[in-house]
Amino acid sequence: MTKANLEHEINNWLQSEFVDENKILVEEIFYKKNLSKENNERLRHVNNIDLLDFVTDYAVLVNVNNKYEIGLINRYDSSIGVREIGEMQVYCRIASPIFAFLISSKGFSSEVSNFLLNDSIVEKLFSYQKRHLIGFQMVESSPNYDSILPMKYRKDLWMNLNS
Amino acid sequence: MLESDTYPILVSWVEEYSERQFQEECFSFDTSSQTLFHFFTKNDSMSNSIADELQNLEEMAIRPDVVSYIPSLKNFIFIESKVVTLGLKEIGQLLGYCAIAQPEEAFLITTKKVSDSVLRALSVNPDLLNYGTNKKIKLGKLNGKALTLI
Repeated sequence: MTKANLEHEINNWLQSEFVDENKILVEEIFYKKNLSKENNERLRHVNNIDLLDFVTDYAVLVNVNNKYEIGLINRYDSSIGVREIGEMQVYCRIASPIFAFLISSKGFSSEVSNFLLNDSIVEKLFSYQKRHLIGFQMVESSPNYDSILPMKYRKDLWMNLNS
Repeated sequence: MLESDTYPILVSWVEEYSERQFQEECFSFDTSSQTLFHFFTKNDSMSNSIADELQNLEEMAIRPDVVSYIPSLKNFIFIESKVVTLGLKEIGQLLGYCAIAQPEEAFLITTKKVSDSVLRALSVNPDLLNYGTNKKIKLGKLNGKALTLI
């Protein structure tokens, strides 16, 4: 799958989750933007916006109970490895996003499959504050639910919204 | 300077550092070309004896540039070397390795500088570099053969 195809599939998925299913009130989606440098009045209401001095493929500005929050998404046409998880982990520690997804057309790399049954490592690698960043393979505009890590999010990908 | 040029310098440095720090003979290696699992399961007696002591080696499909093995702790010091300005991405890579292997200590070394975005983030969130209980990635600057911790 090309990057363009993957982006098209992610856009379809975001449309179905955010608009059709109305799971979350989306104010604006930023593509490959450094939010700390954006001149956007609504972004000024996001906590520590000046520290968000990095670029993710998607940054989603959402409104939760009249409070602006950020969701982060990085997408890959290669498999997701430890580097990619670590990078998003750093962004999550800084931005405290309401959700964070790593999406790949290929799923996780073999280096990750070596420890995916080790709950302790998965917890250390994926958790931030009281939430988890979540990775999965995208297939035909839908998550491959068997690929989702951490595994507990296979039941509900949006569990973080309740924490 | 190429990143690979820094590896022998860092092997020497960490050998001296670990032996001074832990008061025992430590074993330091350039592991940049293969994963720790592959490096320590190759067929030589030193690697095999270390591999025999490690319980979770098969989970270590990670590739820190330089490691030092501390026999009494059955644990490592990791070093990741960069010849670019240290940004959030570079921290993330080593943070990922540390989350998996929980090394005794971890160093992120650059021949350049630490980016403003990292310095700003650290000033507000000093825990950004934490990877375990009381464990934190240390940053350093390599100038020629001299390493200064920041």
